[in-house]
Amino acid sequence: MIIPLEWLKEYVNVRKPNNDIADSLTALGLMQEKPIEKGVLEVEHRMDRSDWLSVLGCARDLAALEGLKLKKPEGLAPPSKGNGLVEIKVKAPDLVKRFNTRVFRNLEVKDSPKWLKERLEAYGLPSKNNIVDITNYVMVELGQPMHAQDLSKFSKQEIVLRKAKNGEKITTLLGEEVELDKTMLVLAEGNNLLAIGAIVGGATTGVDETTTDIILDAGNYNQSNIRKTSRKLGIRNETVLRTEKFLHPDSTQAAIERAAKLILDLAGGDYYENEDYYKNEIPYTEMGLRYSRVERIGGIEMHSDNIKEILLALEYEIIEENTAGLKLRVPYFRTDVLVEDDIVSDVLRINNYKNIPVEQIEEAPPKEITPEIYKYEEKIRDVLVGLGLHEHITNPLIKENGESTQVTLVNALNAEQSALREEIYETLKPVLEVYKKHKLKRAKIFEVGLTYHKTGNKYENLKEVRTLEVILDTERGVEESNTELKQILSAFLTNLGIANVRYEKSGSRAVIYKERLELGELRLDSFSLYTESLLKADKKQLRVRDRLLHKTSEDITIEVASDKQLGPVISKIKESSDKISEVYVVDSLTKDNKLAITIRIIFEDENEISREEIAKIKDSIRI
Amino acid sequence: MDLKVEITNIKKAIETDIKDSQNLDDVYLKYFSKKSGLITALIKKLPELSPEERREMGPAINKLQNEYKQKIDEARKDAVTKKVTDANIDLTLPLPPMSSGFLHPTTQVIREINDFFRYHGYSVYEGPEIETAEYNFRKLNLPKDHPATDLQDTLFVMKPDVLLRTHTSSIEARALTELEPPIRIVAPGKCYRNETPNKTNAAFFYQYQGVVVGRGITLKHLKATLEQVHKFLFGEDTILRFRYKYYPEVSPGMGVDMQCKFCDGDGCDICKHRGWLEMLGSGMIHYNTLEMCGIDPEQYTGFAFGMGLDRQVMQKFAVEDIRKLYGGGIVYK
Repeated sequence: MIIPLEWLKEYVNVRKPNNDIADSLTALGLMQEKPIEKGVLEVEHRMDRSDWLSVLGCARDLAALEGLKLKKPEGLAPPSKGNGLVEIKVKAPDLVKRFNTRVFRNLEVKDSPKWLKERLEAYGLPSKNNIVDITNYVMVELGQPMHAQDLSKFSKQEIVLRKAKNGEKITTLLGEEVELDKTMLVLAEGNNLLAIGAIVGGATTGVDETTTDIILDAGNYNQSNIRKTSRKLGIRNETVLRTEKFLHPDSTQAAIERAAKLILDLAGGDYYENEDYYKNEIPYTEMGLRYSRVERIGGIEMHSDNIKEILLALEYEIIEENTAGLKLRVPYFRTDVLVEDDIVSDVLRINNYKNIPVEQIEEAPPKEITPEIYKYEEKIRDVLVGLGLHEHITNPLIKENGESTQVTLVNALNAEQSALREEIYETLKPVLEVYKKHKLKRAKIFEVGLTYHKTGNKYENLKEVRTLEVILDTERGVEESNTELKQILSAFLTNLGIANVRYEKSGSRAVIYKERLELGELRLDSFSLYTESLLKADKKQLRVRDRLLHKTSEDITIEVASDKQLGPVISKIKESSDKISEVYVVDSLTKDNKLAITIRIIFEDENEISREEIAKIKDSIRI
Repeated sequence: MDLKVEITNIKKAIETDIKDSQNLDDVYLKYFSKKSGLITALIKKLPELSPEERREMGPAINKLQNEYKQKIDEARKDAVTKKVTDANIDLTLPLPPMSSGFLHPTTQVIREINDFFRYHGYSVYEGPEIETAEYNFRKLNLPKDHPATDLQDTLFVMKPDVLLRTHTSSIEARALTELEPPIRIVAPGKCYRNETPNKTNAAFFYQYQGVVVGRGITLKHLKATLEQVHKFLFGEDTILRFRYKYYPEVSPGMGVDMQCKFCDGDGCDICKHRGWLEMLGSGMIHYNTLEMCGIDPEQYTGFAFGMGLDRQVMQKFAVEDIRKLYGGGIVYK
């Protein structure tokens, strides 16, 4: 919201430097966006307070905060009740809650006076003529958009509010042709479209220097529909900014009477009542406030007089009161007040948050419930960093691949980010390219994150899997980097206390198992592990020895088919006795489609195993 | 063989071994291993000797054993000393570092903030990234068609009820639904919005949520908590400003700004000439939210706060573009 400060001061006589005014407005919820320029303050507007899209609305809160009186602008009720000058036909009652109109005749359209031009320009609206300027002025002053049309340009003295037909076209007052659909509200007379309701006027009935008779309307509409129409048409303007918010139908009355006063002052002429369509009156909200609730929420004790003073300044009406609290009528323009705590908010914010003391929570903290997996993933990160790997976090949004197992987005902004990854590898692998660009060799990177999977078309069929991905740069040769990768994998698993894992080849990958539990898979340049499985897997506590061990080893040579996968062989040997601490291949030789491998078996302590046992183990392997 | 000759031979051999060996443990085992040690073997022969020989050889072998155990021990110590005093090694010469891993900047910042809160009795809580509108909007007091839902241009997986969470408030809604008061949790997490990416906003980003529910929790406690955590993160000289700010899931809401440390509040490019940096949004959890999550708002009150983490991370690590932070555009040197 843009607030020309001189304009604001018309309603509240605040004698403070402009910067201090900005600080006060910031404290009560209208945060200063940038330094004040030429007496104009720009504040952040949040969508709840439709009355803060008016200078008077901002002034009201400022006056309450500063303890000053609010001086409200004057309006003028019409002299006669005569209806029917221009007929109003509402054919879309679901979209129109109120359509309040007045007719003016014999007025003089001319340039606006200097003060009016200056205020509109300070706000950022160009001056057109006195009538158009008055509608804009009152919109900014009171927050209710209005619309004036030249009655001499109507073929029939009527306004029909109806839904547009699909494909119906209108040229807006900006000269732009817009195609409409059947969800949109239009104002029409005869075959002539006058305006896109609550959004923008049409080109045909605009007010110009030749105009003498006008119909002025202020409407209240289905804000959700207006918002959707404005999005669809891509039309954003000062009118839409307000009509898409929750405004109360009574705003139309205040605005149209204020405009009438200004029209008669600045353009002269005669003023007539015209139809005010308001079929289903929206009642005022009544609500209770317990004084105790102010303390429950704010933590401060406030005197009831102080509370009442604040609420009256904000134009709440006290209907009833007792020692415990108040029964209030919420001002009609405060469409944001929906629960008692909203009134509490008003009291606390006008009292200023800086007056709330700071106090530590006394209550003892509840039981620690951080999930084990969260802590475990922290440990996983630490172990990998300790092994010299860099952590990365990559955006899981990727390009759709057409597979039914992929979780896809229905409203992606671009095709490159239209689905969620099924493997972290997809989004992490490209990071290696960045290392290459930086000329950093032998990059080793990891990510702990989620992969996303779909097995059907219900929420229950969407799955997130916690996964660790490790990738190595293979530029120095796949074999060498794969050796390092395996070393990292086994160092990692050892560190976590997971021993004796099994590898089962599956295509170009090897699935990693601990007993029957699938831990993940190993590839030539990378491995993935499910962190939940790692957490679940049986752990061997690192054995701490307080005496010297006498390791002893035995080498045996066996012959196998040259394409045999050795992983299962090694696993089998390892599992054959719990006295074996390590098994690995020390030598291999290929001969006539046969592979002769020398396997070294290391026994933890020679004192714990006899020659006979060793011989027995060796025999069992030779088969 | 004569035992005396054997002792002499062993002496010679062990002297040479101690002098030449790279691995004194091997030398020790060669002579003193229980099964196959050469000196152990001599000791094992003792019972076979005549009493006279035993009287002579016993002490000799014993002496041999003690002497060389001690010598090996000393040699071990010498070897260590030698290594660190070797004149051929230039201690002043710097070498490239061994490879050392780094945590992602965001992980580091999350841990730092977690440290504070976990020390103060908060647990970490989690929720899914693929969320329902129920937890992402409804329970947070955002009914269908509420203008506030426009703010969060949501990425939908299935319209209108399954989406990628747009804020960590969805984890708050889950915690409030799943836990019994007293509740004290924090929730760092990934969030998604349908935004055209630029340097400071991306479709994928991080938020950090905090939630406290109990008896007698008020704005006083929220202010104290936020003041403490900001001083912990940014130093004791941190100055905060508390102002009213609307968020649908709280009432009253509170915006928190930190006085800009680059200009001491005078206004500079960093704070967009405001003098203040917006840090987070917070407030007392909305009456309706507590009620919808199954907590009696007449018995319990609570506060919540949520902040974006990325700007903080980017400032701390001098990363200029959020897309690089999570697009692999960073490396660690």
